[in-house]
Amino acid sequence: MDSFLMAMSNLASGWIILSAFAGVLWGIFGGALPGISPSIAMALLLPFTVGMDATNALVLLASVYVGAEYGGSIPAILIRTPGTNSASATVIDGYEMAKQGRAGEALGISLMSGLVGGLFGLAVLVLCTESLAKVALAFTPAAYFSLGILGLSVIAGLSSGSLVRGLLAACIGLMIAFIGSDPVSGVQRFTFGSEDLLDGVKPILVMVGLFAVTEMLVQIGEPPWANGGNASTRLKLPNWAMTKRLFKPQAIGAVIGTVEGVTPGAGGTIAAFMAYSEAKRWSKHPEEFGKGSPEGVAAPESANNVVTATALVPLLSLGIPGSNSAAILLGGFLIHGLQPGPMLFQKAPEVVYGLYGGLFIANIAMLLIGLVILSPCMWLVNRPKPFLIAFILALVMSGVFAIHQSIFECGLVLGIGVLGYVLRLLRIPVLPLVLGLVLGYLVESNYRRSLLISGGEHSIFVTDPVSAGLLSLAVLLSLYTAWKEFTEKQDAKS
Amino acid sequence: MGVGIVLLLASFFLFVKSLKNKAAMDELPHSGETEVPAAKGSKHPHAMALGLILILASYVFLLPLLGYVVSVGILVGAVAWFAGARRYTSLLMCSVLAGPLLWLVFDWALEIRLPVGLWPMWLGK
Repeated sequence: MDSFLMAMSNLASGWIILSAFAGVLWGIFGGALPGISPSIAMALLLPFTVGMDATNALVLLASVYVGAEYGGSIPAILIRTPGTNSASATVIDGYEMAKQGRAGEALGISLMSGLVGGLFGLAVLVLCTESLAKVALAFTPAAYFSLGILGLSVIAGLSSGSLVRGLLAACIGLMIAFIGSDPVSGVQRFTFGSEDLLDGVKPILVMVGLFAVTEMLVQIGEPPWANGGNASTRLKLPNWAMTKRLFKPQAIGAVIGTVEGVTPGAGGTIAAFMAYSEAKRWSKHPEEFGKGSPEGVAAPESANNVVTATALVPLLSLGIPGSNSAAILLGGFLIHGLQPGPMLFQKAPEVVYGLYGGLFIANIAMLLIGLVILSPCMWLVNRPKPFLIAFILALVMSGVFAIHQSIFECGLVLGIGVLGYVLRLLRIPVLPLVLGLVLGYLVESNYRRSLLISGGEHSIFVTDPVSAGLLSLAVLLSLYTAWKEFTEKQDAKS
Repeated sequence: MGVGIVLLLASFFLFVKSLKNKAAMDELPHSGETEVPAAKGSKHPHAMALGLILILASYVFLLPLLGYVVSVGILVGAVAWFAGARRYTSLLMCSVLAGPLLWLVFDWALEIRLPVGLWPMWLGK
């Protein structure tokens, strides 16, 4: 109850409400643009949150995620081009409905399902996070080290389907995390005598480089986005009979979104596709799926909006982000000197409760903005791609400069963008890299603290029961991924 | 503690399930691929990426010399032209407007000082 009151009093300051609305608006636009994923939309805003109050900054970033998941369904339904990956499942029935002249209805269903999903996910977030954080509070440094290793290996195994590539990326991330002054003894590492590198490479620069700059480098060589679409479509909210019919697919989406969101490495896209196929299986009208079924829009759209909140559960309670977007939100925490995890509830509870309240406002904002945003959105999607790329890059370069007024960092971001491009050519996933970077400090400091406690004995990582359990889970999961990969290759050969 | 164990078990179960599901995802119909067969990307995507990086690098080089407003104008115009925009009126308009517009956002709204370049020296101030 205390926390609820705290959240409410936080909402009384208008800035949170403003942040939520601005974030959702930006998110819907970003989500609607086919080249901009939710994480890129968040990364573009990240530099601008430096000067903001911590709570407002985090609400802004989280709201972008909420808005982007709805925004992605707009071009998915109207022009058969998903604006975000997780809207891919919406295309199947959403575009069929649009072809039958029911585009407005499909968009209304998407908006309502997103709202239902978002609020459900928020409830799960509020209920789960603190109890999970209390569990984590009992962790010893050794257990914390192992948790970091577990998080890294799960993401490494899941994010590309190739364990070796994933682990490679995680190691590159850890290597970048080593740059700068040693956190314990202050010794300079990999700085090459450069003063600019004394503080290390900021995660925010890596995120902007890897997500935004790399994407633009790829986009410039790719064909223009599909144009067209009827901007005059009027959004139509579902009526009562439809609302009742949508209850089941939305509930399926909510449950799947919850578990998928909490699981590291799963994320909105998998949740949306799973929700789609489960909704089809349990539907009274499975034959309508693929031919314009409203349920086929409701299930994936509620699932991917649930994920916008539940993906924050492992981040807030354990300090381990499970997806690109959560990693960028972690970047937002780090900018303001906050480390998400169990201690956050003691050190800065007002930030956590402010974030809860802000997410609630963001979902309301999504409904209100969603009702009127359609035409400006389609106008933006129909702008020529060269100009969009140019303005996005101008925004990136200006934003990066704004962080520390450093020209060196502008160049650094370009270098990281090139690194991301090369990694993409080699099909090495970037999420383990980002995770390795942001978890590098957590892993290293707890590793060294454990060794201080044990007097330099590495056996502490296996004698501590929680640590041993987490480590063996990491080994098991890695072995399973490797075995899975091996058998798939064998199947492909025969 | 119980919650943690349940979550760990659930995540393991889902880990297995999501791996299975990835295969199922690939079978579902995909969008976008069949929509616009006429539109093609660049024949040399890597060359395009290299060119873009060079433009961005020159921006970083020019920023301390020409100042923010001029550099960003050049950046927007150059990138849009390089990416294939050929309507010169819109190119010119975007170039000229981008600098002052973004400068307003940063300097006035966000109160971030942007480089003015060497103009004061050149103009003899």
